[in-house]
Amino acid sequence: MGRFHLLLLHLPIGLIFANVIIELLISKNRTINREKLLGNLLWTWNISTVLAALTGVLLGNTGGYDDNLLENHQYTGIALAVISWVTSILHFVFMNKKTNVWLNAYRTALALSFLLTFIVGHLGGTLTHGESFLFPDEEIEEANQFTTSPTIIGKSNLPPSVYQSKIKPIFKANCLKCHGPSKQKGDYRIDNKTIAIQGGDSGRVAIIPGNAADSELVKRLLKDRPEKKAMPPKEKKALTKAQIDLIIKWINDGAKWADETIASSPKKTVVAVDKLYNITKQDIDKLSFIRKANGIVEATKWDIGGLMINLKYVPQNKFEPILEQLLPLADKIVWLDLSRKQLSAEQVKLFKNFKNLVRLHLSETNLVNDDLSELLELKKIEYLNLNHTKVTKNGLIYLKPLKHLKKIYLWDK
Amino acid sequence: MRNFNKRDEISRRRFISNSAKACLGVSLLPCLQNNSLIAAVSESGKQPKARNVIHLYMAGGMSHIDTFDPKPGTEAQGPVETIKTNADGILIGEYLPLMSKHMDKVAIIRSLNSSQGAHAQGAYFMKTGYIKRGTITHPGMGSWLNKLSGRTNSSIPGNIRINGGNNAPGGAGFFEEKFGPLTIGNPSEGLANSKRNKNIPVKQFETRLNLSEWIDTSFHKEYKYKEVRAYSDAYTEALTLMKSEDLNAFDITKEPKEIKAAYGPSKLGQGCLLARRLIEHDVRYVEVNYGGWDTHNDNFNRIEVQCEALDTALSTLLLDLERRGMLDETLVVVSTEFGRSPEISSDLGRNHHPKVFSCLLAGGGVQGGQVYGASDEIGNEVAENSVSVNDFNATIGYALGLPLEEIVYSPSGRPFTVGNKGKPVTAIF
Amino acid sequence: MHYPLFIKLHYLLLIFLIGNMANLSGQSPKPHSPVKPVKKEAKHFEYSTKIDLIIQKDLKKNSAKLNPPLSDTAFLKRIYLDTIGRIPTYEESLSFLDNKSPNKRRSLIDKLLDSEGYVSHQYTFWADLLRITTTGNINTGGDAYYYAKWIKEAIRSNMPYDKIVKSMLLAEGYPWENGATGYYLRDPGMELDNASNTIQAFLGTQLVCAQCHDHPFEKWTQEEYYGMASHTYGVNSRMPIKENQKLNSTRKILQQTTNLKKNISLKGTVSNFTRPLSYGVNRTNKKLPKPTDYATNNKKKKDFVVPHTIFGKNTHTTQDDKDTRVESYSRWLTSKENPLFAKVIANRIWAKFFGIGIIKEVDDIREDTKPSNTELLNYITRLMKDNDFDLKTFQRILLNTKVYQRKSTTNEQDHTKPYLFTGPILRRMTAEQIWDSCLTMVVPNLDNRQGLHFTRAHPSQKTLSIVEGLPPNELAEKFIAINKAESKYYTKRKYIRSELLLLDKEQDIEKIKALRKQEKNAKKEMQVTIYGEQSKQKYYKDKKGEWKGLGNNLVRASESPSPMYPGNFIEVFGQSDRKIIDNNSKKANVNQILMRLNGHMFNQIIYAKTGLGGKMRTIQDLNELLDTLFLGVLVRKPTEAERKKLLPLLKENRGKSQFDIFWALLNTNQFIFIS
Repeated sequence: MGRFHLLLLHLPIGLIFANVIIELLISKNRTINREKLLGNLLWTWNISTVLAALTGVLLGNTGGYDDNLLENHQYTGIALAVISWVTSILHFVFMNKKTNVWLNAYRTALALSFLLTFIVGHLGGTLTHGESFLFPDEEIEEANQFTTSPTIIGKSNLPPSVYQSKIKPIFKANCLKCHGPSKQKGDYRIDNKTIAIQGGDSGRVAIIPGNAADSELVKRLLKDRPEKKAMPPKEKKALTKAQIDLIIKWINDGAKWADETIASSPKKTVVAVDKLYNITKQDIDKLSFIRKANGIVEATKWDIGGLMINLKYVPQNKFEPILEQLLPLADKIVWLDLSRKQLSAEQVKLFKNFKNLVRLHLSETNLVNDDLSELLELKKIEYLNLNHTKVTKNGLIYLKPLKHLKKIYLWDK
Repeated sequence: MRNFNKRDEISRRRFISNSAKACLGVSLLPCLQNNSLIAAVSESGKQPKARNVIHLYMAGGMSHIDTFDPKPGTEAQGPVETIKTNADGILIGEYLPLMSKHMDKVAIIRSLNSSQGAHAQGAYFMKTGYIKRGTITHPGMGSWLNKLSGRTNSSIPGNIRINGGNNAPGGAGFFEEKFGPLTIGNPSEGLANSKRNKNIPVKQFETRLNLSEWIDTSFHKEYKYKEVRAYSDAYTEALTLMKSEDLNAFDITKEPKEIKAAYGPSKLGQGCLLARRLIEHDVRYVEVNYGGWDTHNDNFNRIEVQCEALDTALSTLLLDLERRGMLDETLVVVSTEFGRSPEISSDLGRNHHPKVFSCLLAGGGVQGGQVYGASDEIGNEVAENSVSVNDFNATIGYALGLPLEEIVYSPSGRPFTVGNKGKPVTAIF
Repeated sequence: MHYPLFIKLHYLLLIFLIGNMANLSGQSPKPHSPVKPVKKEAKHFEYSTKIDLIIQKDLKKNSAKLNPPLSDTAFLKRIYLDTIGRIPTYEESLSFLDNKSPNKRRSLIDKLLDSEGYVSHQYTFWADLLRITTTGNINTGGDAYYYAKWIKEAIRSNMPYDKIVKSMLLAEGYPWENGATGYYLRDPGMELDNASNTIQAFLGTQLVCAQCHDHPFEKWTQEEYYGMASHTYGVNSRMPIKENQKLNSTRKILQQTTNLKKNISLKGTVSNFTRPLSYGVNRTNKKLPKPTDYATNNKKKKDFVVPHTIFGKNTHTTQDDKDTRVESYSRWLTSKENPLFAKVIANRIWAKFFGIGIIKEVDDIREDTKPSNTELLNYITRLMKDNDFDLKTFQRILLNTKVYQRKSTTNEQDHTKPYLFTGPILRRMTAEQIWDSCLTMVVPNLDNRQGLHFTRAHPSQKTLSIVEGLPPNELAEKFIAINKAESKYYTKRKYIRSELLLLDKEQDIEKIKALRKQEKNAKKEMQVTIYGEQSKQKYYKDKKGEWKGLGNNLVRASESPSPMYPGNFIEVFGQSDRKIIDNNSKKANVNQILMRLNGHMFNQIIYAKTGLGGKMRTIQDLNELLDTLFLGVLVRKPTEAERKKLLPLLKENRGKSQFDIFWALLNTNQFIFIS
């Protein structure tokens, strides 16, 4: 029932306009017929006003509207209904008495109704269409023009510092309150690069580096403000056109955070720049010969830092020179897997160079008890795997001085 | 709780004799004692260092209350008794007697919770960290690991699924198919069709292959689809695998009878044994599936049978990995799509319960003998330290040292991350 | 008051007796009712032309062109796979290629649409859509024996799409009375999931999120979802078995004699034998309460949802009447006025033929979804409605378009842009198509070979005959006897299995054999105790010898139980697990390749004495031999280059090379793609 309000309300607006026009344009010769017509119009008007008010109250009760606005709209609406009756009655009296006092009273009431209609109408419009429907402020008007044809700007080569200097402050002032450390509305936060790009609950990508037009963030910035998905929401201050423009440029430029570049495809190996051992990308590159031989080189990703080298699947013939080639970086290696390798006496002697080793895999090698004496320099070693070797527990006596050694494995079938 | 850890300063001589005792103390694998020895000195480092993962997936929704999150003294508990474990203060269900001796190796997360209450959707969420959508298929953790970190052993696939279908969630998703799992339907039978037909000599086999490739040349030239390339890749992969020296990793008949028996006769047990062999050959991710947990009716009888398989398999797996020096670098995960309701239905069953449930993590740097998070007094809701499915996946990613922040784009240009923005539970390491 | 159930029981017995009489005589399975032919109206071709015009217009606008026309051989392969789900046999190919009629493509389309193979192929489409699971347990939505048969019959009689959907939504009773009940039995006890699946399958909209909370990316609220779901919420997938007097008195006797309530094992036996009586669809007055938030766990269940629909006209019904709410919902859903019902099925079928829908996400249509060609989508939706949901006619129209009969697009499509329909895209065959195509090369008259799974009587009929045949006191005794026999068998089996585990596969072959035999005997002994000495069930034996020596499993995918177990050929190639709508996969994996390289299937094909392998042996001329192999496997003739390279090989050593070439063809990638 309440929904009819949206239909009915237009009737009294039209009718009062008709009344006022008649009153203003042709008020000179008040014939009986004209007064009768005016009377009919007035009564239709006041009945429709009352109906609109009644349905309005019903609609208001269904909820979903801004409470303050709703209250104002309702009271003024009811007042209008009452005045419309008063106006009609005054007109009726004037028709019978035909004195100027009644005419003036009637006209005043009509003028009042007319004014009130504007107020009620504006309040109602705001209620359904949002704040700036009737009187949009200029900036937003301009922004709205974007929506019809999103301007796609090519690369504009903003300086890399633009995020720190311009973008971040915009986000901070306008977005962070709801999408920042304290609150993450819609599971979205704009201060975390990953999430800022991925987007939140909507499942849509918020920022597509290089493509502002398809980025959900931009779409929402450009949306008509009263719309649900528009950002910032209608209660909050809108971004200026210049600000939105800058964000679009920044995204089209690749949405660079600080001075880094966002990779367009996943990197195979992530080189963590490590504090303890200072592993650099160059170090990893230097060891590319190991990869070619089917071995593995990685910077370890956790606190122990350093390099992890796994030579288990390097064929024996390719393995021969490798251990020696590792010596220049020996200090940086913390995790070494030499399983399945046949080690020469010379190679065993090289062990002492790997001073920072924490984990050493020597299973299925040709090691024997006496070889363990070569491990004494490995002061930091914690884990030693000697499974499937000729080492017996008698050999472990050599390892006694290694204070950090926590686990030794001597498994054999 | 961790007496074991206090023996930091121990003389070298004593540690050798102690470790020998430790070996004798464990009578599960009597055959292993003769020639083997492990030595343990002090607590392991407090950092994650997982290289590989064995993920035991309990399909159907494992009851948390009847297994790793008992609620003694409440109506919710039902008839299952609780037992003490070798980790101070941690109680588990009575049908896990063997595991009670290994809880010092395990961290229980008792505050896991999901938003998915149906099996297929729940399993999808657990295995990928993303909610199932009609528009994209997300990769499982095994595919993430292989994509971001690569294989160790290049001659066999780095991602293997045991007791699971080819079409189950957690496959390659939008990654190239080569990162998806190779499946093994029956662990006792190993990898089906991995051996060349005996009647076809190598030379003839190669002739045939060459012919086939040659006939396809113009087709490949004409249709440059990634679906077609994926088939060519898969052929290369399959042929490498057939020639691999490590092919016997798939064959559990190579294991001594006693070890096979210790893992238990269930498909889970045999699957765990196969998983251990595969991890020994440096497969990066092995998923072992075990169904039957959907106990809508007759929960308490069925849970006993289910637990027997899990108890035997998991306890043996942990012990076996530890003895071989592999537990340090292997993260063992036990998970399921959701728990089961505290209410017991008229059919003596429990219904789906995603609001709170439990999972286990062990090895790979996980500090054993601890519980993280808690459910409320009847196991109905999270009471503290909520762990979401995303957090759970991020924790696995963290343990493996995967870059959780790194954005990977799908072919359609959408960005994704390991663990879908979850926060890893670092407290358990 | 309880009579209806008993009447149903008698009915069941009657069916069982009739079924068994046929079965005992070991006759060949009943031939199917004939496939209802497609309407052959000239105006269909006008519709096809109109589709072409719409597409041409769109292409022109985007300055694109149709792909080059399709050769006869490529058309042949594609049309067979798209209509009857397998490649043509060598003979079928020849008869088409030798045909000189200008209308031969049109008449082939009609012939195929009217053949039994059409039923088989369409069944897979439906089974994936409806998640039909014929394996597994009816308790968890499997064992859809009667449902599968019903769907096949609906396809065979070309039941209009709206009628199929309506019949399923309105189904009631036991599955053997009405196979359409399988629709609800698929999700036993999960009314809400069933409702989400209904909306996804038939309206292409995913509401599953709204089951637990408001939809995160769409406008649907949990309350709106509940309004939809409340229509079918009262449809129960269990029969009121507790009201069965006979079973109740049997239980009473057992309680007195053996303390049934404490005897878990006996209780199990009783419920196993009476269980089939509890599976059926039964409308109840159960009302759906308003959603309680997952988090608040509000236990008050006094508030009930008012049924309403999320779009289109409302159903104006209440939850108070168990019948009208389902009826009005089924009317609303299948109505021509429903904005999505016709559109979704039209788009699904389009996607099936072109490899991509006009709306790409065939069952994830959202508020902001844009079809790649709106006019086209509207037009085919109208065709669907104007032809009263006659799917066969609809397919006839699409298959006769020019755009369908074009080469597949050679470059990979850009996922970020709408696809311009210059022709279909390259598709891998479905798992079922690959399996069926392989069998085409071995099994003669493949489409008419029925699977044992569906020709055999359903196992529940056996147990029900026991329950029905005995009075309560005898039934009670019978249950005790059965229970004893079962326990004996299970104890024995447990012992045998534990023994087997300790034995070595290679060394103890004899011991293993002996144990296996023991187990088999124990099982037989149990069965004799339960069912009595039975004349050995006579399976259908092929008297003509058409299929002699070909394993029972070599039937079309639609005739095999599905989904297949992990590791099976069809499963490995990506059959849907039937847990989620349309969950089949066409992706490559290493298991598939190992199966192609070393598996049994390809060896069986190349060394077979029937089918293509048999044909190969009889051909003298080497050129013809090469043609036969290429046509039989790849459905094309060899190119000159191929002939030049391969002929010398055959000349040199035909005995070896013919198998090598055959094998090589089967291992090509073009074999499993539809170009």
